[in-house]
Amino acid sequence: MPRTNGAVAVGDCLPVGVAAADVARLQRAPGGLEYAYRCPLHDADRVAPYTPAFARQFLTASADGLCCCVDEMPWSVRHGLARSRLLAWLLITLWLANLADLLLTLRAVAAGRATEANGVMSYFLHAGSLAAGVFKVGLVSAAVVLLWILRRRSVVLPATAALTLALVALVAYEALALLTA
Amino acid sequence: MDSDSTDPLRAAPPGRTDRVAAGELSALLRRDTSGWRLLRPALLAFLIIIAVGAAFGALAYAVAGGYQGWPTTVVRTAAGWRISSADGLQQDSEMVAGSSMVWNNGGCLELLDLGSGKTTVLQLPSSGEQGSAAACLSERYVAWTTDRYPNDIDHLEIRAYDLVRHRFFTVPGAFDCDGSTPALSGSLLFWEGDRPQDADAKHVVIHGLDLASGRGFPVATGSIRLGDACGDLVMWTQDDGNSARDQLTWVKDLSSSRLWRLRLCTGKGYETDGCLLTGRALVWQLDRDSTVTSASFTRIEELDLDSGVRRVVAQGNKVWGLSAGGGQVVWSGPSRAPLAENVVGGPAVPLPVGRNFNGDLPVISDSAIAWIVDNTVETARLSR
Repeated sequence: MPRTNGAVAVGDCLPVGVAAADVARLQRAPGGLEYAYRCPLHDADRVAPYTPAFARQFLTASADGLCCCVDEMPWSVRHGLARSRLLAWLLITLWLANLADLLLTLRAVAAGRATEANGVMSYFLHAGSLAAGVFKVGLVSAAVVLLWILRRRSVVLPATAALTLALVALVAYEALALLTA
Repeated sequence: MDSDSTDPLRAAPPGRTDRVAAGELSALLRRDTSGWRLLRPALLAFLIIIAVGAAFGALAYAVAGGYQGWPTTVVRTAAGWRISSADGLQQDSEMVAGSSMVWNNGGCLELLDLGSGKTTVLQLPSSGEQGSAAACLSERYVAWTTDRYPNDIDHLEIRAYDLVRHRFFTVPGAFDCDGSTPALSGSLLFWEGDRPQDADAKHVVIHGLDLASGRGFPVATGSIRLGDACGDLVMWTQDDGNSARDQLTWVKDLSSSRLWRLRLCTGKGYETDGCLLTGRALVWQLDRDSTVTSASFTRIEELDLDSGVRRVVAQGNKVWGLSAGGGQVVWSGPSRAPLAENVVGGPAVPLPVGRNFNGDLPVISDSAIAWIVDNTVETARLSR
């Protein structure tokens, strides 16, 4: 059975105008096309008028385990925002920005352009660059893994977005400070 | 968002085979749920977050840079350099040595290469009480005390900058420094460290360290205060009574281990106010004791340590001092114009400080002088 995009499949040998899949199918109806699907959240069979946007919303909801019923779908599903995908990118950016922060901080401290304001990091910086790097990267790596494990919780995406935004702002600040040194 | 049409399927001519219809459905779904269409919202949100973060960082830098009043502006003048900042320099000390100048701009320690005019920020203002870094300068290094940890004034350390290798480092073994100004001579660094076992007794140890070789050595211990260093000489003072008049001054030649024990304030009614080493001489200023008489009188004296010759460089009720460096002693007379004289003797010559000089005594090295004028620092080359 050929598949498209993983979740929605189209049957080869089904009655005219019917697409079937293990979780959703496209079928003829008196008013046009219908999308018969199993809601990923409620685990119940539903039917909705087919639109291309709905096909994407269903895929988005399937990937994130969210409801895709027309009147109940959350904001992210309605706008086709793949939360897991966005969260993955943000977490990767968070990790990379943390690494950039470490390198820029080491460079700035070595160049006398900055002092470490964080008391804990200051302790590790005095113990050496390697100790500071292992502590900082290790801590953030653990946090990234934890956030990914908890990705189904609604608070995780906005929290990660806020963290990433703050860290990108910090890295931008440090980079500008070093560039203008 | 829902504007894409599904008409191709509904418009499919009757009688087409199931396989063809299913193929069209498959193509339709593939088109409607293409990777890019699924990717776009997440990508947009991601880019917005990154852009907003970067914009916040840039804005914060612009605001913070403005508050701290740096970077400073360095402009070449006919004689040297003029250093200023938009907010006005808040310098409280400046020093020159070799081709370098260091000044403290409101707790921000900055370095100027007098040859190229390039500035380097050595230390940013700290939020702790040690924010105003106590610094010293030689031809090879700059060293200053700083908080070992932010907001922790109980743990200090000495940071240094190698002027030749352009490298920052923490001075090893200087974790006991008491925050007073260290002294540098070439690669030799001296600092006061608290004696751990009886710190309450105000007994301090003056440590020495050759920053080039890493060799450390004790210099002196007791109820003493580190003074100055020049060449192989290091000077410290010892309280021998209750007044500055009772102060003993010690000078040690590290190459020969020769030690001088001096009482600089020999005249009645005077007190010592400033004592410096330059070349192989000790220069100091004596002020008339204000508790004895209200009439001001200053005498600047000099002692050639090798010959033992002691002489009065200048004296009067309108004499101000004291600055020394590069084998010269600097003071100003009634006209407030600074004068310099070689410690081995010779005529006093006026220093090229320009017409807007406001009376604050310049600092001097063998090749340059620097002085403060109206919240700016100016430098001038010295021709020997």
